[in-house]
Amino acid sequence: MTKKSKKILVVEDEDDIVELLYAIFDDLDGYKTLYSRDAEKALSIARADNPDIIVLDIHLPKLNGYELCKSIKSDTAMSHTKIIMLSGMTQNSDRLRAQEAGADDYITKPFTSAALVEKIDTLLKSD
Amino acid sequence: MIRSNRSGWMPAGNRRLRTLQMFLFFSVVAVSCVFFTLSVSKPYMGIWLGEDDSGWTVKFIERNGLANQAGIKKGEGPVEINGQPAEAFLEKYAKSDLIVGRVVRDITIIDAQGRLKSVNLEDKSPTWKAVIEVTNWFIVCLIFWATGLYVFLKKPNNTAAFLLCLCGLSLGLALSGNMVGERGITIATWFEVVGTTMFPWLLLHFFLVLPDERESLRDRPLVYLLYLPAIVTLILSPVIGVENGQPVQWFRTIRLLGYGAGFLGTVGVAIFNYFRAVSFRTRQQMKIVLFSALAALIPVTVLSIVPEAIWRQTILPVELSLLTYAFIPMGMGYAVVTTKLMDIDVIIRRGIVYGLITLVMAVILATAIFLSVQARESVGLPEEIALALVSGAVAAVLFGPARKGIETLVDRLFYKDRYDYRQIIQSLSTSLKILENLTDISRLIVGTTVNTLNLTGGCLLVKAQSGSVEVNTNQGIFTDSSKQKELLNVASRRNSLIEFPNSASTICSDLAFFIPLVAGEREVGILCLSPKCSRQDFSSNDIYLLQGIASVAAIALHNAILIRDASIRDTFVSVASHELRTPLTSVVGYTDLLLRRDPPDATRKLWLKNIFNNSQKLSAIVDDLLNVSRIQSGKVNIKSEIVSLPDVVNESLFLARENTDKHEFVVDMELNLPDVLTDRDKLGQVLGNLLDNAIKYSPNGGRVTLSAHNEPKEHRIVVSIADEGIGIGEADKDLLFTTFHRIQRPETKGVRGTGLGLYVAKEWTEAMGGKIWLESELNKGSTFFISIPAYHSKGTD
Repeated sequence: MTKKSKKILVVEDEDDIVELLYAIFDDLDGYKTLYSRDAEKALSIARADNPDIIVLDIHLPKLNGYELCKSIKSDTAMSHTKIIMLSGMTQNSDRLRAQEAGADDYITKPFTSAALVEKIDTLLKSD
Repeated sequence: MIRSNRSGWMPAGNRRLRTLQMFLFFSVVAVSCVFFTLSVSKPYMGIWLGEDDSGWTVKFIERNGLANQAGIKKGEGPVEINGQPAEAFLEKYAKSDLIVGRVVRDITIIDAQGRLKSVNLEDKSPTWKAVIEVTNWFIVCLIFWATGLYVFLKKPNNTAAFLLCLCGLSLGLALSGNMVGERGITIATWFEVVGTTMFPWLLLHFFLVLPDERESLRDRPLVYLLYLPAIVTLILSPVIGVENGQPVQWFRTIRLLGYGAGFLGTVGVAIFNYFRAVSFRTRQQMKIVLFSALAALIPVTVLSIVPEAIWRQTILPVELSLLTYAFIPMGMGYAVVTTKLMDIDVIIRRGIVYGLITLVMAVILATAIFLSVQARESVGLPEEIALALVSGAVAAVLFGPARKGIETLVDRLFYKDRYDYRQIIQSLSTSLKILENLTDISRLIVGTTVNTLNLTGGCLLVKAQSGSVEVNTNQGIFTDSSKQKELLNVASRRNSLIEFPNSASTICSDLAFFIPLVAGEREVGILCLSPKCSRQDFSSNDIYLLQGIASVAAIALHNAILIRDASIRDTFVSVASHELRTPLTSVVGYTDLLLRRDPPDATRKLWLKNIFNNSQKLSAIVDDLLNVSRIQSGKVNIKSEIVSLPDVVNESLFLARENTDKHEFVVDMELNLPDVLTDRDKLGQVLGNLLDNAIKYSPNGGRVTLSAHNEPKEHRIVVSIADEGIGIGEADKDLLFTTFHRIQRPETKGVRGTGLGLYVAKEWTEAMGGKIWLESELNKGSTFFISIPAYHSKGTD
């Protein structure tokens, strides 16, 4: 599997953060990035495009990040998809909750591009 | 409503005054202590000589003097005084009818049978009764000083507390000066004169200003005229009151009349206070003082004075029974400091109950010990220890059930209503313990009170985090919002005269009682109760019930408020953290990208602009959080400036226009609007927050109209900001001005905010003496109104 074929789905409702993630991933070789601003739409994109990794914000309107994570991980067709939770909350209980929902990793805001890309690379290499 | 900062900070001037007061207090106490110490170590003669047709004879013998101990009796004649023949010694007192024994150090008397009796103070010790008398008066004074000081420190701005302190000091000087004077230290008699002359008038002044309802009298200079007789007496005393070191009789009589007038005045004022009191609390205060006076005087009268008068023998020596006088300052002190005056019959009932319990336990234990000792001829140490342990265990087991049992029995027999009411309080307390939610607790408190007493209504005002009070629960007539506003108004201009147990009907006809709920030192709410449906008066049992409910309600409410505040704090931290991290992520992310990559100029500029915009967002959030923190800690500083409204409106609109290109701004301001008297910066923030809200919640754009018109009759200017946005539903309207409340609807998806803007706008507006309100219909837009005081220069109306 070559790097070019790796698909990242970014699920985030904050315009500013989406724009930042776009700037981070746009310039990187080997990734194709998809974006969604709400969880329901993200679920259908995930089913249709089968991304390798999802960068998922916890605070989303209607269905939150934990619920979306659980839905994806409980779907056999998508359970292999790696999920990085993105959160403004730093407490251990939030990290634990993400873990219980099935997230593979967790990154707190604010983050650097290097830290995020490194986590993505690590998860994809472990595949 | 912004609460003033009520910390214990004291201006430097007040601190100096307090230090001076403390210095003077302890100086006078020290002087009195020295006098008491000298009195306890020196003997005194205790003899009064007077001249009549038969010449100089003994007119009076004091009980604890050496003369009495030597068997000298009234009517006997002196032969020799201080080593001189009596005639020669008494020659210089020819003008005096009576001389006091302090000048007599050595005396020989001849009695009716011609026997000589001599007493010499040299090398003599005081009688033991004299020592006990001085010690006990000292203890009484000590309690008076301690009570006075405690009350003064607890209520330093209360005139009655200050006067109680002075009463204690003057009594101390009077007693100690008198005793040490009798023992030959003549300088002390001047202190005695000051103490005795001032004491009754200080007492009279105390009773005049004790009731809160006479608050106005406390600062009126005319009231100090009552000290005029005392001051005149004090000035004349050294001039015409003394001759040859002996008090001049006619002047002494005038002085005594002065004391009498002072004491009679005191009793008169106390009676007047009781019968003509407007407030229930005043009557209770007088009752407490009356009962403390009875507790002081009855033992002395019954055990000492009456038996001595009838049988010439006391049951308890007066030197010991005088200790009960200490009840008087304690009663006076209690009347000053207490906010919840105990019902005196409850105190008596408790006294009976505990007396009975003690008696029963003493009888049982005595019987047990007696039987145990009887069982064996000799009891050894191990048996004694075992006996003590068993007796202790029996006492412990008996105390709980016996106390409860007897108390219940007394209640059932003599206080049926009290018994029922106590059951209600107990069941309320139990129910409140299992509730945590503030509203549930409030409903239970109001419901129980209103239903038990059959009231027309009840309302519970609860302290908000900002310190203001808010209506939490209402029932009956107080469901009417205009009546709730009236209650809030009463709460804002309350005074102790309308607080429970006083009636509040004088200030609001729908309000029978205004009961502050205080847990520890903190007031957590106010229970407002209307009169009974039957229009009957509240009985003392009803008052007892309300007191009980207030106590358990205050604790439950306090706990619920702590939980609420903790939850608000958690929300605050969580929301603040989330809201700060979002713009911070953009700042950190783009800075990181700029450091790592070398983007084209256009991209670089875009990223820098994003950094700049997000830094401004961060700054705005920090401002909001700081504002909330200031409001909630009561540290709001509002300036009062003459401000041109159009200037502030234009500045706010300029900033609002920068944030949107989808909205059209329309200004509709009345011409020649007067200036407003307000805080310019804060008014700008309020308008900015309202405009920001109008923009955010009309995501499809539209017109935002800012209007302003004058309301000359109200001396106010009303500014409104109307949008054509999503509108606000009824459920959100009530919560809109609270912290962190955000409208959760599909249309608000993606609308960012901390949920603090309207809270800050409301608090600022109210702090500036204004009001804020809104009109809105779902999907038809919202209009927010603020009214602020107009500035009217002199000569305009």
